[in-house]
Amino acid sequence: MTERPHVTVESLKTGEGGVSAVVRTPNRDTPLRVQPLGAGRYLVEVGTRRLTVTLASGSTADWGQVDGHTVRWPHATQATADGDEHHDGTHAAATPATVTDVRVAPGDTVASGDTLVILEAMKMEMPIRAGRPGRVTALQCAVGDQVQPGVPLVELEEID
Amino acid sequence: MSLRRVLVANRGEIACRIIRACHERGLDAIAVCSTADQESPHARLADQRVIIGGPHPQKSYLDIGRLIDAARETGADAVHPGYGFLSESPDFAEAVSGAGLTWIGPPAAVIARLGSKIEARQLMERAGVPVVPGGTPDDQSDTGVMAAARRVGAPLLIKASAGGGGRGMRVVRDLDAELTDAVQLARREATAAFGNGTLYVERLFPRARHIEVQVLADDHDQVVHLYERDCSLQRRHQKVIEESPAPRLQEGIRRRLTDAAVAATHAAGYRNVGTVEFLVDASEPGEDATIAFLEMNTRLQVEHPITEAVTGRDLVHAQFEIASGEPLPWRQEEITVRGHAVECRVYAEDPAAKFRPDAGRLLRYEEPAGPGLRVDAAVEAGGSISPHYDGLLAKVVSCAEDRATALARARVALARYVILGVHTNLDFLQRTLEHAAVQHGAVDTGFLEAHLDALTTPPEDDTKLAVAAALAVDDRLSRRRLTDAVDAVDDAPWTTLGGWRLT
Repeated sequence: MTERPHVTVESLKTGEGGVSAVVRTPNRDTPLRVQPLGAGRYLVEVGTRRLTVTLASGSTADWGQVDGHTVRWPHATQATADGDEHHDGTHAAATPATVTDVRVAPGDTVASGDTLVILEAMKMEMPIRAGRPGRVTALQCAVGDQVQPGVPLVELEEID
Repeated sequence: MSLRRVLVANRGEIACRIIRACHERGLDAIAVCSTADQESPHARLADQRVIIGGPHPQKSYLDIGRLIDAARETGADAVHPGYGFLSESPDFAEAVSGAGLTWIGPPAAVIARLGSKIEARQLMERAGVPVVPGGTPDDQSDTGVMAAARRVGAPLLIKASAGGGGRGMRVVRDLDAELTDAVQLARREATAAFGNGTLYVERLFPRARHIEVQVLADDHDQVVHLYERDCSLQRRHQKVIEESPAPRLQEGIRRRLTDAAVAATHAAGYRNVGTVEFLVDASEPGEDATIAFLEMNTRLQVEHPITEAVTGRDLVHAQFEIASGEPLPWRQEEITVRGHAVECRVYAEDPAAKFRPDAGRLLRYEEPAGPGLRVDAAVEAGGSISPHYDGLLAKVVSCAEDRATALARARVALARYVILGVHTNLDFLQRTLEHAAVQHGAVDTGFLEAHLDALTTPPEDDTKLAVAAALAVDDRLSRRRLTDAVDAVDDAPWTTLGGWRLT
């Protein structure tokens, strides 16, 4: 899994030279300037280099391209085919949906495959199931909520 | 006979390329498509489109009965098969001719003769065309094939007579340890893939170039060649980058190759455009380097545009003229090579994940353009790359006065090519073009496999950081457009962007 860096934007005032930003990765902070060129294109200055970035966002990932080199970042929490579990222990919807039932509460322990939340979209019920055994540490949705793909609904921590 | 309506029995870029040629000649073009391709560019480009079946090729593009029906229903008088699918099927050629339609290609009997690798090899030997040293044992028992292999000596290849694409093929470097298994495995694979377990044996050249010669033959016993293409940059027997002319090829070798190709074409009783593939031993430095016939491809090749670029001749137009019974449009002495051309095949695949094919919707698509550049593609923004078909997205063809400029032009075109939504090999192609050995023009067919690690490294850090920053700013700007309320937050220093987390 590619690590998606943490980005801090100093100011969005799009004055001369664009926007200042700092990209924070575990190893270092990199200051850059980002100048919007319109239509999803940005001129990014990294040190003395000037890179043109072309962006597109899909339903499961963001894509960017610089000089024919492509970077794909899955959305922060992306549903997997059967567990709807991201590897960091969060569970999220794969498509925009409505929460119709919440079956767990914080502190509950669950087994792999247990239903956590039931979603409805396009007249289809979609259970979100635990991808592995664990304890519910956070519940971020309630019945009736409209939820977006990738936004965490339930977080689990591993139990030994 | 003069043609009026042509059914193009293919899809993707080659269907588009043929449909355009039809229109240039004032011919109506009929596209066929599977249900998965109804909105594809080739279906839209044609004057008429027939949906012939389901997405699986067996139910559509490989269904001879449906294709013939489609031609009849639409009043077509000719069929162009393109490449792949049924282009080298003698049964399809026979069915087209049997239905009273003109087949844009060689006669069925010629396709069948050259499709049998053993028969083709024997034909070329009789015609004095050099073939790879080896054996075509009449005794097809395992012991018979093994005896033939021992006469050839290691290293060697066990190959399937009905083979292609590396299937039914086994390398033997140690006769005692590997031969028995290799014969049995090749036999099993060949039987499964082609329904024919006939095997033959060829000596293996550890360092060889793949050089092929474009030929044309008409109904009046005239044959010309359009010089050579070097297709040594291959991965798993799939060509990746081709160029014409072959770099650093001595004139004497070029002459032997083109002479042999013309002789092979005559010997085969060939008609229409074809390609004679040769191996050139890269371990011999001189003009006397071994050349050997590999096979003859009885169709238009994927890489035909580089030949068109350096000779200034249109091969698809020539196909129509030859199929109409007209004499060859050019004499040999009129055909010259000018400059240099390179083709890069852009695939929907992820080189960083062992070249796993990728499918999906194209979120963004912008083709490069400029002098000396030709992009043959059949994809567009919003279109889908289907998991049912070959992942070839486009062919980027660059040409220039000299090789270095043609390579540079291809590299810049790839860098400018925007394809987002599926993984592509754009990066891999650029790294390959930049490699010193490729720049020097000194590669053999083992090059790509030997250098895969260096050619598939992930994008450098600056690229990833720049994309991350641009995405963050893009995300913030689009939110600000949605609501004024966040302005106050936006203007606060050191805003941390939501949704951006270490994963």
